[in-house]
Amino acid sequence: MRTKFLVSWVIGASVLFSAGFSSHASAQGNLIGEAYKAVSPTQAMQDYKSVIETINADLIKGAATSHGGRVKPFDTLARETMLYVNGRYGRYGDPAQMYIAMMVSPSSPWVEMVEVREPDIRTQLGFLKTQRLVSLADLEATNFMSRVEPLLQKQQEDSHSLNTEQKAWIELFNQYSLLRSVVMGDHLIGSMDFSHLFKGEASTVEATKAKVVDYLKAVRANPQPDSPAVQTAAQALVSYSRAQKTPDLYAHYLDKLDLEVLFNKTQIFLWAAIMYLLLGSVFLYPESRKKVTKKTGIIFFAIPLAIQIIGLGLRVYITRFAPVTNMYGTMIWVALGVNVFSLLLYALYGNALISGFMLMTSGVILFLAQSFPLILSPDLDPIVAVLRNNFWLSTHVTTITISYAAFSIAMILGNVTLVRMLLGYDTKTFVQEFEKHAYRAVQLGCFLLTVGIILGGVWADYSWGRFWGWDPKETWALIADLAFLALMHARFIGWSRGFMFLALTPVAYLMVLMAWYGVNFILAAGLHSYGFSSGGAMAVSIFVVIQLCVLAAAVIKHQRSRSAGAGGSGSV
Amino acid sequence: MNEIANLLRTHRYLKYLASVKLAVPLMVTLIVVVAIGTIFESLYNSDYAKMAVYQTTWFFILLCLLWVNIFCAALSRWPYKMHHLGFVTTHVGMLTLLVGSFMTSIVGLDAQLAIVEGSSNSTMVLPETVLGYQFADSPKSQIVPIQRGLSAYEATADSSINTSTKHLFYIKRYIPFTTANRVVVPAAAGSVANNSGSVGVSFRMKSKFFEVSEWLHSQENPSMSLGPAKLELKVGRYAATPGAGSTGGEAKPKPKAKPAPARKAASEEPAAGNVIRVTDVKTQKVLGEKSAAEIARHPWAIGGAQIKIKKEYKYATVGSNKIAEGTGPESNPAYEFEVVKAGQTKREILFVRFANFSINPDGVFGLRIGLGGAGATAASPEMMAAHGSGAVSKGANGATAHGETTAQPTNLPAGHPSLANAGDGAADGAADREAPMGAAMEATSPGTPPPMGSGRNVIEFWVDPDDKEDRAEVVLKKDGKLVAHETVTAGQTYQTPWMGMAITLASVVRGGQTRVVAEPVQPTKGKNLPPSAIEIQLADGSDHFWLTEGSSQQVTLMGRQAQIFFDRRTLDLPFQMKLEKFTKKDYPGTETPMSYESLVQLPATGQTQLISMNEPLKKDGFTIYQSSYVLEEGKMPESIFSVNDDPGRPVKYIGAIILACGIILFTVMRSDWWLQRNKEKRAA
Repeated sequence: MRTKFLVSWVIGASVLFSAGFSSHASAQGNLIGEAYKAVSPTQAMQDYKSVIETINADLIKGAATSHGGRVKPFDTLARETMLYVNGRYGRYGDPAQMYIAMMVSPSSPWVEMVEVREPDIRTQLGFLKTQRLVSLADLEATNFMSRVEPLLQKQQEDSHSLNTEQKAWIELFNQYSLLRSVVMGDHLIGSMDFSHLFKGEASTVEATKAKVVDYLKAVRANPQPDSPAVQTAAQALVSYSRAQKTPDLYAHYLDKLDLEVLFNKTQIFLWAAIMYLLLGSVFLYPESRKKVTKKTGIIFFAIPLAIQIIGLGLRVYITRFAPVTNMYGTMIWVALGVNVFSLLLYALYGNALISGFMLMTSGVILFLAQSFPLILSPDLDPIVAVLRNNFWLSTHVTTITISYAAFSIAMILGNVTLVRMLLGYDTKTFVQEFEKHAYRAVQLGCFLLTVGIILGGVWADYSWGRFWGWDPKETWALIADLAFLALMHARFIGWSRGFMFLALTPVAYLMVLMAWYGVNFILAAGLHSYGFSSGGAMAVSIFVVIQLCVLAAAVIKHQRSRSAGAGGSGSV
Repeated sequence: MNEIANLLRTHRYLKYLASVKLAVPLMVTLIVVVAIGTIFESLYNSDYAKMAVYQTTWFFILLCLLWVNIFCAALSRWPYKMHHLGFVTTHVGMLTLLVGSFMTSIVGLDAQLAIVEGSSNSTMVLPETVLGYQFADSPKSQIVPIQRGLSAYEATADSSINTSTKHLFYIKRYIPFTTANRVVVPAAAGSVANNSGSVGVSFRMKSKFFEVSEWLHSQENPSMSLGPAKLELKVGRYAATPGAGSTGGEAKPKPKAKPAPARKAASEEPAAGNVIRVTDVKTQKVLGEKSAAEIARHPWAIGGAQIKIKKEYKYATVGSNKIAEGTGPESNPAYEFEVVKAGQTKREILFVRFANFSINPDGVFGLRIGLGGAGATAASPEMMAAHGSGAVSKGANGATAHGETTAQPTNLPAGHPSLANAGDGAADGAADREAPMGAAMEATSPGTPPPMGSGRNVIEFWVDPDDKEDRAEVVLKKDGKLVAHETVTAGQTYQTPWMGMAITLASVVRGGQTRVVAEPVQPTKGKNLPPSAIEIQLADGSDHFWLTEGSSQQVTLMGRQAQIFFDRRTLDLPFQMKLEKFTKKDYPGTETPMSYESLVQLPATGQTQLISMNEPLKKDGFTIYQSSYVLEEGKMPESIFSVNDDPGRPVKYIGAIILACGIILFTVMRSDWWLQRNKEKRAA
């Protein structure tokens, strides 16, 4: 997903071999004709921040840009660009402000803006290991290019042959190229100009450039963010960008630009997460739990659910496909599933404590999904050819991933049991109740996953010509299903009842984790290649290790207490 | 029925077959095994995983065991009561589903059908390999399947697996992954083939742009085309033809030319220093000059076209008809341009050191892209000679290059487009490369002129079968005219005057044969598996040879001429299919594919149909899917379909439906609500 940030005309030679900002080649200055001003990093940052303050980004956030296979508002383009370059959306202000200020401020090449994500690379380039951010000029002063050039070549020949460090170098180069093209204006002009979307159409780049330059000049000339001149220029740019000839496929996005700006601004899922955590803690806190009636409890589920449905609805409205095409989308979807299924369990059994854990789970999943936008990309960019079938996408994928929600419920119940065991709670008092919930959740999960796998088989049969082909994604889905089925069968013959059933759900859940995350992020093989990405492997591995340690400790403790108990009862 | 069920419940051993105590370990084993399979897939590819796990006999046995276990478990509950409904339905669903997939894997057809745009095909290729033979006087061929395994093995006549052909030949050795090289070797002792009088040479040709190892054999492979040049092996001694050129006919080495002057005109790197000049082909008027760096930043609109620098190369190399960035040490700066005019896009390559080279001999849209500024002088005739020798990097260039250059009345303006006709060494070299590159690069514009005829440049190897020494005469000809002639001994390298090309004569073999030598290799991640190879031993002991997947060998079996082949099994569709057009669409402005589709025609009925991702074609029980494609520059697009005939499909679907119903029943009938209801009923 990350490499999608590259726009083909940005990369490669044009950046590789052109001279640095400090050299005579860029003597003509930036896009608005102001000469670049080499200053100290502190001064550059000061200049940059003061320019940011003069910009009212809201005026042009809704401008139409074409990027990543769709038309998106400038706001989204700026957010994605800033995130990719410096690791956060809005490090020094609103991303759209930061983006425009990068083009306007004459000392922007000296602003420390590019995030060198690998500490090793920092030291290899001669920066301090703690210096996370460097400027374009800093990078140009190092042997950066000579390091990257052979790697780019290698990547072109065989991208499989690159190791993690080499990929990190290339990513840094991509960040550098992207920011450079932002500073020089190519990025904005190229994204805003739609003529390159048509083959053989006369280029309108010059006209687009003129509009962009007009706007930037107005911004530069008027330090008042809302001055009429800026407003007029911004308005002209926005309406120009939207009135361009647009490919039919993209036309529908034009009406949704303002909505997407609003969607970006409101951060719906963050609010949903906060609601989940607040309401979940009401359930968890013993004093308040007592006061919750079943009716208010159901409302507690319904409020964040409604917020989340609105957010998902907007995503679907903008993209026109089911919101389950990448890790981020499925996490949001699973958080929703956890809510719905635990609401179901609450309506059936009315256990407020378990409900508290489940609301918390939904909240944590949403938070996790929001917290690592570089790894879990929330972009709304379109999907690859094979997924372009809304019927199957919204049946097969949603069914499979919603089953993960049911398994998550069982896993959380299992882990709560394990932790309570370790903390010395008396298991007898709650295990029966927990097991009942976990059993139902697993049952539901197995049903949904089996149906989802079958639907996947039917889709595969329909579009690839085979029902089952042992592709890693389908194989791991089957493994997860088998793991929980084995658990159910073991419970049936008495091998895992009560505590052991709960204790083993997290183990089976590791298979779900592999099917959900591992196949796309670790194995990265097979036909389901559209969701492949990288990152987070270390965090997930640590989670797995901790999970297994907790499990082992709790099971050992359980066995000891049981043998002690058995001994005791034997003596009676 | 009752007895069987009873037996399954009570028999000392049989009860385990019906037991959940067997089911759980079986499931866990299955989990572990298929998980390992996915790791293989991640390390190598899906074919490897299939060979290592999913298509092995033991895996099939494991699945059968699971089936038997489920079957016995379901049977042992007989006679069924109401509360068994969910259980029985799910398990019957599972059994049906598994039967369906067994049917698919045993009798189903899953083949590939590749069709090049504009042509028809009905021959499908199956995944399994076969070893076969066919007598020259018989139309029928015999085949035996060869199971692809992961480990190499050796066999004797008795232990060989192909018993049906044992009286004729057998597999001596099997290597699962190989690279195979065809080499010329001395005739095997007792070989039936009469090779006396035949000669063979193997050689390496190397220049800045390519490096190939090839061989020629006077009987099996006397000539070949390599790019625009034709290579020929001749038996005998080369006799100088009158008027072939000032240097023709002599077999003694040429005096060495003095080292070429170092080039100064163009800078070492394609940096800001290079100026690109655009000339009108017709009027030969210079339309404009602009620095490469500037064009790299913004496309240059000139002469009604837009010129973009697509890529810059510092160490350009040309291999397999493509230009690519190499690694040092000798720099060979080059630019790859994209020229757009009236919706058409063409490519052009400009080598800074070979400014007169072009992949569009007649210009691009009437324009000629060359070097301007300081670089322009480099393209003057005098400097071109320097180019030529500059290209012959190690200073061993023959005098021919200079002699020819000066002898030729070339009076070309800088950056002249039609250098193919210029007789100078460097230009010839450039022209040599024109055709393959032109062919390779022009995939986007079908209207370009065809590459030059490949008979123009000929390299001949003359080997005298009666010569005692291992040497060959190398004769270079252009348009039937002698350019150079050199006698080269095996192991020696001859630095030709053409584009710095060096020919190393590896070996000269008399009375020999060409042989495939297979070497084991490791499969690499994400790539297709290397082909397997088998060594065939003829039963009469007369010959043994390697066959790699897709190759064949002429032999004499029981005194009759025959062919032994090792290949993928093929089958014919009952109808022909013609590919009218293959289209790959990207999302506008990106390289993200949006759709692939093939417009096919069934010539029998004249019916045309679109096959795309998610939209297969069904005909005569076959289902034809868009599976893959080959889009190579310079070739017609090729669409690859997967063809399916799956008798297990309805069984699997029925099984799936039963299974889904079963799970619902199971869930409902285990719910508190249902149990409560039953209790109330009973109470009532």
